[in-house]
Amino acid sequence: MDLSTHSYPDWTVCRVTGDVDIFTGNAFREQLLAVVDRPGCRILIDLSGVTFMDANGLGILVFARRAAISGGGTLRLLAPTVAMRRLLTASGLAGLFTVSLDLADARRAEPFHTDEPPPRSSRHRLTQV
Amino acid sequence: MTEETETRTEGMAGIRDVVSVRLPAASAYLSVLRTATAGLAARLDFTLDEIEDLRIAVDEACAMLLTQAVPGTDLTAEFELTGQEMQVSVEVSTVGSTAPKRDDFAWMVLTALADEVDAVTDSPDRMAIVLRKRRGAARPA
Repeated sequence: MDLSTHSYPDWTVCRVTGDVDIFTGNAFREQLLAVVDRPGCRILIDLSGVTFMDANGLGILVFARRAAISGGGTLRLLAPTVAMRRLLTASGLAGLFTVSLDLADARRAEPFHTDEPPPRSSRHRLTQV
Repeated sequence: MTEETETRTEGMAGIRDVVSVRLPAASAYLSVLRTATAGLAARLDFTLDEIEDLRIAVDEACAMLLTQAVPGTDLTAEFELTGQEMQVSVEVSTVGSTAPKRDDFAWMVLTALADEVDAVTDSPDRMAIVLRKRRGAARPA
């Protein structure tokens, strides 16, 4: 399992690759929750490279979604694979998540509207301290 | 009405199609068992969706058993392939086993993906989960 994060002005894309099972679940939980910890975060979880996910992994996605929303943010899934779609259907949680095919699709569905500067500014603030 | 055809219970050359896999009862080895599951399911011409269902179901069953397995022991998986169905029995050594919680999220996923699931907890030092999946069986949505 590997989780890489790429931040755009409007969305943070977390690309998950490999197997998410009980062997890799803890690393997945820690890395993902660190990303959704920021208030107002806009997270896209790219699942196109997931080769396997178990119910525990899906539970972590549910928890991350709740954390993002409770912080005033949002969380969408990107391009789930066959394995992911079967898990979402079997668990009855398919309807909980909004799914986009790609970044452009997510931008159309949920545009970024704000007068505040993009999240990038937080980094400048840190360097000023 | 169509005529009933006899279900094929024997593989090529009259050999019973049973494959046994023995692995350390440790989560690091689950990916190996998932790969074996997919390979065997493909032998029975299961669809891609059915193969994924089996892969997830076998993994969930093992994940439940591993929480009770005695460290340092093995997990055994026995796959029995008939014409239309795969039966997978996974077993670990335990010290006093407790049945899986039926309202558990993982158990719900497991039962949704397999056609039949049984937990065998009649022995205090062994615990097994047996699941069956038929080819082309209708699955609840």
